Amino acid sequence: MAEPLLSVKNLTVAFDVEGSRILAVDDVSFDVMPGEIVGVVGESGSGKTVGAMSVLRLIPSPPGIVETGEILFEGKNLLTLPIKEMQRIRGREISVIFQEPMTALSPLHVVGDQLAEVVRVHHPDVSKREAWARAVEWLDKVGIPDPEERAKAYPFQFSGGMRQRVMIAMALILQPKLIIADEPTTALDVTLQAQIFELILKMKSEDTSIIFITHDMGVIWELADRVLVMNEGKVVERGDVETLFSKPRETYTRTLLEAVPRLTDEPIASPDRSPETEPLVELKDLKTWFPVKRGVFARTVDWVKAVDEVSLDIFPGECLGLVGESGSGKTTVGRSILGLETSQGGQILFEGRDIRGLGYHAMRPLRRDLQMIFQDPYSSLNPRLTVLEILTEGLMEHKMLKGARREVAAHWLEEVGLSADTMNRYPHEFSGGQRQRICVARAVALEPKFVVCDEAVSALDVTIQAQVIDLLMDLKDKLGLSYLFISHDLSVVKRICDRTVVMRHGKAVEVGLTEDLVNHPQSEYTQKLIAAVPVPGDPSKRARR
Amino acid sequence: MIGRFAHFLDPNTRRRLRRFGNIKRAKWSLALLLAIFVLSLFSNFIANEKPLIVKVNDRLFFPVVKFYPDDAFTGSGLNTRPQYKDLEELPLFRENDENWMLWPLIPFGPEESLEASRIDIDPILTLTFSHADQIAVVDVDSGLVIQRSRGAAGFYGEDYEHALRRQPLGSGDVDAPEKIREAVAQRFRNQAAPAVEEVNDDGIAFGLGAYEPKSRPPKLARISMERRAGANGTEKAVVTPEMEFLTDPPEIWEQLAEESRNEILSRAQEALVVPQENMNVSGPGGKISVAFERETVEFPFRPVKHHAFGLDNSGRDVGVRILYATRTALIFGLLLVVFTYVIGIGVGAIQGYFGGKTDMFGQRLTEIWESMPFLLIMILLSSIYGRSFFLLGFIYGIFNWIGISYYMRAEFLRLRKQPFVEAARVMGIGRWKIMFRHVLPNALVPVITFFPFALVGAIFMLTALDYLGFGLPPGTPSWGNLLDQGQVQSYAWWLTLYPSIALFIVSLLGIFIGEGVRAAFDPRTDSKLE
Repeated sequence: MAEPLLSVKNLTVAFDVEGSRILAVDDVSFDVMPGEIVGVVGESGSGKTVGAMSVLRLIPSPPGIVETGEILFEGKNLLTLPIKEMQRIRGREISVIFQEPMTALSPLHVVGDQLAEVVRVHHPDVSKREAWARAVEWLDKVGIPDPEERAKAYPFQFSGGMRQRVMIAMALILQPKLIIADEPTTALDVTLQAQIFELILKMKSEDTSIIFITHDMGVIWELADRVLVMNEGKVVERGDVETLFSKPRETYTRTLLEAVPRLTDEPIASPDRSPETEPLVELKDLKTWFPVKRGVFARTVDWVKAVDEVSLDIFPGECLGLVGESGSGKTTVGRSILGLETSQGGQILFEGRDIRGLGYHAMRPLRRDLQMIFQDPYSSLNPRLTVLEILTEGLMEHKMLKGARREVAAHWLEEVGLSADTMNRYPHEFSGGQRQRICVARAVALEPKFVVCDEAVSALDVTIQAQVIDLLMDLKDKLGLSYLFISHDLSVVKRICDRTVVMRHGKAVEVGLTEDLVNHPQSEYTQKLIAAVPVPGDPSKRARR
Repeated sequence: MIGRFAHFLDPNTRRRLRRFGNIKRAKWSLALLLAIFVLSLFSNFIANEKPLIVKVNDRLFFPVVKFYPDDAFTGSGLNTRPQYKDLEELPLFRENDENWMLWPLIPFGPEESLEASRIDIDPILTLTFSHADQIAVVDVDSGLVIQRSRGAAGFYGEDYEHALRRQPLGSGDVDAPEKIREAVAQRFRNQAAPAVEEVNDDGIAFGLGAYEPKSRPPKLARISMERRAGANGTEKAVVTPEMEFLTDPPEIWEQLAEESRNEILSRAQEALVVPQENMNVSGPGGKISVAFERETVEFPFRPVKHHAFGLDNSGRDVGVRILYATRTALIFGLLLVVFTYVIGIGVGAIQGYFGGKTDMFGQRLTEIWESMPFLLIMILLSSIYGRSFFLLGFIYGIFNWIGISYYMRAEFLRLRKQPFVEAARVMGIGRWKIMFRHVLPNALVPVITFFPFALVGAIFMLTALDYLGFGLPPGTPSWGNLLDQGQVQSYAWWLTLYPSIALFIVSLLGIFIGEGVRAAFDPRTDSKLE
């Protein structure tokens, strides 16, 4: 067997957080062979990023300390290498693709200069002109159209997918031996994600190794040769992808695999609606356009047609899925229904009454019937209010408080699976999943008829995601709610929605029963979307490598 | 430590308080500034021209907190404000131990102009010895022998002019310089020569006019002799009322005759009571002028016993005025900052939360308002309504909120799009409740970190306006007013130094606190990457 390119031995990294020491990486060892793609998978806080970043010694210190271990790269211990040599290795031998290309690229320099700089830092003998030529060549290789011109553009002038391509060009331009890819596609839509995978596989040379960090089992299945499953700083299980997926040894791995929503999953919900009921919410040719304003007097020169003549209906007790990629206008539909965005035309009928453009006072009594659960559980709770205040504020506003505040709050906390003792705590004392439960409790406490779930589970780890989905489904049956479930993730929608609407560029492309839509997509766009969804365990997807 | 008492606060605030508590410099600055503030609040009880307690005929009076007419103590029927210090001199207090007054630690008020006679200075006398101005003319023959002279006796230590007859020019105490001897010889040789002037070692200036050759040599040559007072150095000596020298007696003293000394001392004795003119005594090398200088109290007066910070130009104690001025400055600063914050936060919050047209019109109105000249309006209004603490605060306040409103507007614009605010809107919470409960507490970070700096700024502004004379009413104790006096009487260093130190300390403490607050809100850890 060949010598490993990288060999991490007994690595332990600790963080000092306000006096207490937290082990982010706890006695982790692994090897990376030349030409191999090693997937590191784990939920947030499992130490996967910290572990990979210690390879480049990119751990901020303090608070981070590498306590023990060695990292051998081609026989040299990177942890004890002089910083001069380390800088030579960074970028040239080992490079990184970050998750958010917007923040990883300098906003003040054109991308061509940034690429050329990478070349010239490591090869000072290359002339500026040559370096620029190399930059343009690589922009072309990663599929940027018209690379000569685009090299002169700033990062913000690129779309998300294009920026990630630039990032990849930057990581690959020096032909490093090892690439650390830290969730490079998490911020991207599925169709873009599939393209980026192909690009990475195409661009990497025979003996380039990749450490691919992700939380997504589907991504691991499509890309990796071997997997490390991490949890709480430790490697729980390791092995080659096919064995691990078919015969997971550890319970944690099994839970993780089971929690992953798949297109092939059986739906939880069953459509048993009788067709003659009146829809609860009905949109007719809804138009929500955002003005583009220019000039001194802010004249409206153009419109961004976020939602353009969309019609859909939601029946009582139904969960309607709304799927689309970023910028498709799916979120705007939900926000328009709740009056968070002003619509220019069409109708929003709630129980037969048009609520579009209702004023502040006219809308207020309807507020309790229409609720929303937001994507980010961190920013959707006021950090200065206790859970008790958060849960009862709306009830008090609508004079719906029955009984003592504390009892009502306790009731709803237990309803969403949290302990009633926690009501005096503040949001930051809860984990992401717990926070999202509080958000759910806040929304359902008003006993609404209709709830918009705007990417309500997208920011959560898969195991938590499954729990919150179960909670939402339970509450729906118990309280007779109807959901508009907005998501970019077809697998989740497939699992819980009776019917699904697919949106693209502000228009509804396809509407139908979820089952039919997934199995027999009619429109070309839906077909493309479904094909791009990574499915762990599906051999046809893996064959693509 | 602070965190322990704050368990009712939300954890963010608690963490910030704890972090602030860990910044030693800021914590001590806050403690010190608070101590200064609290101390200055009790200025009335620390320094006052009224006694704290007066006991007369078994009745207790509290003049500091309550007004009593003169009549209450003297039965004079006068309803005027009593002069307690004069009252204390009356037999009522002098001769009856039952009646007494308890005075504050510093028994002087901020507006009390002390009489010069009440300032207790050591009665010492400064004697200045200097040679009197002397001008003389002597005519000499070719042998440098004096033939005629006028006013030259003093130079030679003689009493009468005729004693100099037939004396050589360089005799006695006078030494004729070589250059002059040479020039005289030239004239007797009937040679042309320019005017000559030469000062000898004793400071006597000898002079000869320009000489044109004549048909025959002159019989006499005229030499002028001149000694300016002080040219030979003056000597000062300080004597006590007992006529003893505080320092070593001056050199010249030893050279004076016994009777001259006695004469000087007896005049000095008189000078302690009545100012005396200069007197001349004859001493070595001519007349000696003696000046008697008894220090008189003239305002502004230097630091002296009981008035360690000196007195200002109306005879008011500078230390007491600085104490009261500290109170004025801190209260003014606090009220002003609170006032500007209320307006600024209100306006900024409304503009930021409602946005759109409200914001647009609000911004334009703010810009128009901002362009009004503050100083002009201040001068105009104070000329109509007179200068007062509240007018100044009000006018400064209504012009000073604009910066804060910009901060708040930006914060509200940012926060109103935050999901937790939108969640509150979706729940149907009223607009004002959203603004106050959800947005405002989260928007206060920039204005809180700005608070100590704003306070220091307001205090500086007040001082500057007072210095220029547009601030508080005349007579109000304030640092700016003292600095203004200090500029007029530039020798009176105590009028400039002490208020400057007070201003410096308060602003330094304010800035240290501000630094600490900022660090507590925005912990930039000193972590680094290799």
